[in-house]
Amino acid sequence: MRPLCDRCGRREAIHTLRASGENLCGNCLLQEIRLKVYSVLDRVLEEGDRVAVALSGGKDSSLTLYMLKEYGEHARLNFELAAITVDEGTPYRRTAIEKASELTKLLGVNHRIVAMRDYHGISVSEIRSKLPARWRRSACTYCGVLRRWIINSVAREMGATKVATGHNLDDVLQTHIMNLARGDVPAMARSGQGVRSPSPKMVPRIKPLALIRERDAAALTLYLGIPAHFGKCPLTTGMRVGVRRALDELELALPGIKEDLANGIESVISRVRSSGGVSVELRECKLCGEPTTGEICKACQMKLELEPIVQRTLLFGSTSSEGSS
Amino acid sequence: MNAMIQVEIEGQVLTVSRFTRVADLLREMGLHPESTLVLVNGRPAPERMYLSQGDRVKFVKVTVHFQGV
Repeated sequence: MRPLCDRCGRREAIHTLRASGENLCGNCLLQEIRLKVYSVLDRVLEEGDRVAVALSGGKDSSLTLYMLKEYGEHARLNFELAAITVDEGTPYRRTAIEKASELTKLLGVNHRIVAMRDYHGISVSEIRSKLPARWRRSACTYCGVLRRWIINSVAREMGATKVATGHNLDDVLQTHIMNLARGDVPAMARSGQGVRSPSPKMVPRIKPLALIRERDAAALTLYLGIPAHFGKCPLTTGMRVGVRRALDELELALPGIKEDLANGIESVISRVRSSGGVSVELRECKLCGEPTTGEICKACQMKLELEPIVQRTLLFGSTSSEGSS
Repeated sequence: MNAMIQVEIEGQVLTVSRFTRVADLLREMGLHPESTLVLVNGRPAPERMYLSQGDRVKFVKVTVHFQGV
């Protein structure tokens, strides 16, 4: 038997907020999440913005698009909305891309689907199949870097003033912990919401779900019936998985620690930023012209690294026909 | 009153105590509550909910690891 909602006391509960232990009905869960998402959007969006949502078709980016559309309809601000989906070329992505198309049609949002192969001359499936055993990076790492490059480039081409991503509280916290472990203070300083970009070529990113736990976003997506893919990428490996598990265990022992940690780290970052202690300078990549902190951007570094492995040129727009079997 | 009930978990009929809550089920199945949602009869279910005779239970993994944007 379903308990009644701890807030309204009228409807059946569908979800437990683990931070507070409250059981909420779908309507109260929507209110809870809407309040937090709107508080972020109130801060980071500006009148006349053109927001491109990086829409993978998974639950988080789908909910992000849904909430942005709803926020716009509540006429709190005039801004344009579009979605970009990168097809990385793995069979796993088919369902998610179909869900992304379904959602954008449903919401009436302009949707652009671009293939990684068209931009980088290689797909993630090919990277995965050609990487030698025990190579120093996983296909997952290449995928993330190459995808970010495409999203920034396509968003800029579309005239976007902001890129909205589906990063939730868990994602943000994991990234902070990984940056801390690497001692990468500049990366932490860059990671805030809608931080002014030091380069006109870098479209500022916003994370509307940054205050929402992944499981709460998932429950709301299911409750609202938003078309979205629920599934784990079979290529996932790396440090993030371990950090995620460790944080989940910590949360079991100390409920609410995720929010406390995220708030604490954000507060440190904002102090570092306001003290002017970290300045990030961006220049143009010598090879592709995209913004980078070094001489050559990460995407070009990775393509150079992959060239001897796939035995063809990946830079300067070379594509599939050159021995891609 | 029978102390045991039958529920369908991921398509498999199992007999469980009638005092089994969603949180107990997660623990018994070795699933992490932070990364798993439970659907009972097609709807998300709170952890405090007791299972009833004939309930159909499914688990949804919420960890996708496919963002990196």
